[in-house]
Amino acid sequence: MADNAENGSPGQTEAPAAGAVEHLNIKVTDNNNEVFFKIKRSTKLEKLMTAFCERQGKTFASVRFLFEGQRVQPSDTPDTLEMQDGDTLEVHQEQVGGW
Amino acid sequence: MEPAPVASALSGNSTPPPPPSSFPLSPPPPGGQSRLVTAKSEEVGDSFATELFVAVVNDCYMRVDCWCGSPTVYASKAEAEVGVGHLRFFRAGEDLRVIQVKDDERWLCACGSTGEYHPAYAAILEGSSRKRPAEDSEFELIANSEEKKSGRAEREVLATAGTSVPGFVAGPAGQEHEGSIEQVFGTARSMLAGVAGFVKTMGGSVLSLLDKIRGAVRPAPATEVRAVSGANVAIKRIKRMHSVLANPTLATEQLGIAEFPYLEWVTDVTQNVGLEALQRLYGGLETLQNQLDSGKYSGGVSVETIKKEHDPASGELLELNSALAHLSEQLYGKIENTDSRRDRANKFNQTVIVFRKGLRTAMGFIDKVYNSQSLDNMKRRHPRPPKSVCLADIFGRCDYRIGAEFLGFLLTIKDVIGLTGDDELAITKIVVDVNALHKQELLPSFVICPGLHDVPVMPGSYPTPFFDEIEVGQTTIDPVYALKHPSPAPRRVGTPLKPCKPRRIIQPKGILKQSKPWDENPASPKYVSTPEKKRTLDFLSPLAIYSPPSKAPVVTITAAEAEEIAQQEKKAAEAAAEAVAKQEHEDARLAEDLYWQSLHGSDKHSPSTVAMAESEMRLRYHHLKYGKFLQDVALDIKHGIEKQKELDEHKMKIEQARLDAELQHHQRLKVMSKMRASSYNLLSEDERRVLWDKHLERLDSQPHGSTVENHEIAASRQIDLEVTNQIEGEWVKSIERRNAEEAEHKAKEEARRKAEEEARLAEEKARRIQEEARRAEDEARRRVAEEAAAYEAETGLRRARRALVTPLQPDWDAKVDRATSRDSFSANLAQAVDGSNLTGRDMSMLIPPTEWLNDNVINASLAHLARRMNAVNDNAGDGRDQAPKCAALSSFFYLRIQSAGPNSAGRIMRQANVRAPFFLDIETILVPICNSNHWTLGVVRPTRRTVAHMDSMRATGGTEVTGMLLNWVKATLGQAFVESDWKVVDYGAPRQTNGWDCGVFTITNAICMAAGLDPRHAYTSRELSLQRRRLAAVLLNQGFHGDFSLDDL
Repeated sequence: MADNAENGSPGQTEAPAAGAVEHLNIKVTDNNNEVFFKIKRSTKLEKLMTAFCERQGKTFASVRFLFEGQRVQPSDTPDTLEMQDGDTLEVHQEQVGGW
Repeated sequence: MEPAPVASALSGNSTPPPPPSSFPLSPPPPGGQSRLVTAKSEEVGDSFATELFVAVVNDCYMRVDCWCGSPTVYASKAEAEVGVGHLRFFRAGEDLRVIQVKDDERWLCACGSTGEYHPAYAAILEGSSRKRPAEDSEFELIANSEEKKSGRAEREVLATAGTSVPGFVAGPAGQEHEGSIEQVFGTARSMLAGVAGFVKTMGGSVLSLLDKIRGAVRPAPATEVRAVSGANVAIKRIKRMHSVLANPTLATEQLGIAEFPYLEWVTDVTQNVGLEALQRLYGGLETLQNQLDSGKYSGGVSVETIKKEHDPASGELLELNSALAHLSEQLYGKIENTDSRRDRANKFNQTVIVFRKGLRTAMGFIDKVYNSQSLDNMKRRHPRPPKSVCLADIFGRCDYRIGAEFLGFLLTIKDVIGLTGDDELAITKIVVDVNALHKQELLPSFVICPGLHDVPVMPGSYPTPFFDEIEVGQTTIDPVYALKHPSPAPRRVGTPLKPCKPRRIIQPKGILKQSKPWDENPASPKYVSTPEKKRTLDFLSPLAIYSPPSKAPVVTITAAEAEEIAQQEKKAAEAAAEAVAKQEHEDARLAEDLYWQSLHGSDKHSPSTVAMAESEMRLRYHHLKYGKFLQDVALDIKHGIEKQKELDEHKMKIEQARLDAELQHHQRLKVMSKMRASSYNLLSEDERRVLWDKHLERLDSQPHGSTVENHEIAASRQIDLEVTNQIEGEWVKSIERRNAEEAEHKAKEEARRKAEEEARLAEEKARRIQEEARRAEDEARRRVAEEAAAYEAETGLRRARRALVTPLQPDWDAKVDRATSRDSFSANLAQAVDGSNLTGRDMSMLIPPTEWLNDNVINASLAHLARRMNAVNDNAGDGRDQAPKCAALSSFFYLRIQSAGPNSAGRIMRQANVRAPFFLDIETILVPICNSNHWTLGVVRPTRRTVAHMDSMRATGGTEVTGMLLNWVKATLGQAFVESDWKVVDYGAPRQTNGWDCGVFTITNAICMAAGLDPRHAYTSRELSLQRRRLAAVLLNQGFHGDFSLDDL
């Protein structure tokens, strides 16, 4: 939490609420920037993903959110993915190949 | 000097009159219809986008070599999102808004500009004050404001010469004031900006005009605008640039104006438009102006009411009132009853002002231009019609544009003011003349093209007689390259070139805060992104090996020219042959003479001597005489004087001897002539001939020794002999005939036998060839079968029963085409197995033949494939507790085990139903891999204990991939892993020959692997463009069923 001063996010808390059942803290990182989101277990991750994209100025269609390597769909929630507090979503760029 | 109201009136735009333009260029109204630039009215919000738009347009405009127009303004945000460009402007209601698309690196400027600003602007941009120079129109404003400050409305412009030139006011030389250089240039720049900006709006070539003006502008006397306020006088002193227009010849030279060779000045300037029409038109305009001046007009709510309420007794003109109402309607729209009185009055007053100005300028134009004096002026400046008219000749063209627009307005209300067809034609011609003035061209009315039925020709167009017509077949063109390199040049084959994507040209300047750049070398190895790599391709540019020939070895000639050249050559050859023949003839004669001389010695009776004596004075004699001498001279010069002397002495001796001999001969002749008076040598030619005849007669008269008896005996013997000969001949002939018949018969028989033999041999040979072919075919088939069997035994893959890639049905073709259309770019077109959506964006990366595939397409295709295979395998559906026949892992799987170890991908494996308990019962596991922008396929076949890496670029896949996959298998199986069982295989799939199909190879190989097909014979690399469309259709079909079933493979 020390290094997120420059990433002031509207949906972000100052410190993780210890032992919160309803909310969990999710870190979203593209290996360069880290953004922390505090969301409900039943909140669709689409919200988080679009927020991250807008923040980082990326197009939604050109990035991929992965949770432990698995592609996260916009309709997924922390519940469906069985996410824990403090879990990380990795952001990768779209894989494109031709030659 | 306010063109905007009329402009908007003509373009049908109903916006209120804009405030004075504050810069050379301002954004167009959101409708973007009018080509005339008007400023945005103040109540429209979002000034940021507007300012940005202006900045972009000005930036392009100020560059030296940029020809980009205004940026595209999209109709809606949705449209802008699918558009192109880093910055995309769009309309939101009345507002202009902008979005920045960081992914799109295409800058607005697409013309490859070097980014240099025009010197005048560079000076402005680099200037320390950062203030833009004042506009022409603003000097007046400045002066006005100063007046207001001083409370005095008294002002005078000290300009005595050329005041009729707006923007080019030149004062007399005596009034020149001292002023700083900076001041001078500042003013010049503003003038440039004004002129150039104006021309740009008219669609003219800004660059050429800028260059011309740059060459033509010189510092000039100043004009002083001053307001008199009490004792203080000077307030604003303006130094103006003054063009070299005072010296038109110089201007003509500098501007590089050439003349039209085929145009002549017209004698009567009104010839084109017609004097009567001009007078009538002018009279009509004058009447309107008189009416206006006398104040006999009134406004009304609408044209209808004006007509209704018109009172002829008031002296007002119905036409004038109607025209005013029409103009008002075009300027401000219909006047509503709800409008306030004051508002209505304002609008009406403005309308009258515009009308008056238009009227005045139109009349002024007719007055000044269709005047023999203006033509005389032009003639005086240019002896012949120039291609371009220098600025000196087009004074007041801004004004005339207003006049032309006013005439255009009159055309729109021709029924109201009663214009005839002739009037319309005249107005059209006048407008054409004004247009020519704007383009700095000659007025069509000023010139004619003589010899073409006196039809005036517009400058810039070419009359037909100025073209030569050459028939197609008569032109021969030899390609330069073929001449230089008769055989095809050797080509180095390297990696095929990837088709170039549009590159940005100028670094985009972000309007939003820039995000941090993507770290290419991350400190932590945990999260490996897919960085953009700079790759160098191994190829030799064709430009690098080709150097243009220094001299173009191509000559284009017509057939007629070729024929002429051939005739000349033929003539020359004939002359040469003639000369040779002549020489030969001469030589022959010479040789004859020499031959005679060699036979008879230098006999004085020989024809040579005789002829020589006869033609003593002829050249041939001289040749014979001096030819040797000339050769000797040459030889002497060559060999030196000693030899010369030697030769001389020798010659002198010979000569002496010859002279002696001659003397003796003559003496002898004298003696002989005395002795024989009829000496042959002394006879004349006739006498000689008589002598010869006598000699012949003597010869003939000698007897031959035959008598009459002898004759008779000889005749009877002759007859006997002939009869005997005839009989003998007949007999011999009959024998010969019989022999010939026999021989012929024999030959026929022989030929028949030979033909029969040959036919038999040929038949036998054909049979043998057929036999061999059949045997070879059998052998080949057997070998193929054996090979296939061996391959199947090794890999478990069989030959496909039909072609894998077949053409699409027409309805599917249409669906695929629709998927690439612009409308469906952001639409969800299909759903993948995992519930994610495939959009038109994904399709647009699949269907066009040279696009690169993305992970969505790959993953969706493989997931569909796996689901289909498992459905065939088990009708109960994807049972989670039993081994699937085929499992497709996500393309992020390999990334995961690469970065986080072989045990970290449990979640992905669970998703694909790959579990340790029944791992060894799975037939095929497909692992798509994207590494450095290259798609490959890892294949693990646990039932056969094989691992393979199918890379369409490499013959055998990379060992690092197979090693990684084996590690993963080992980690998954744990104790059950027997290393010796597992081996790495190569399926020998087709290879990629281009720079874009690897994704399609990957999917197609996956299909082969899942269906257990031999990829070597299932498809070829040439079919993959079609396969792209098939794959798109499969995705739209949401699976390999129906038309795309894999069951019969």
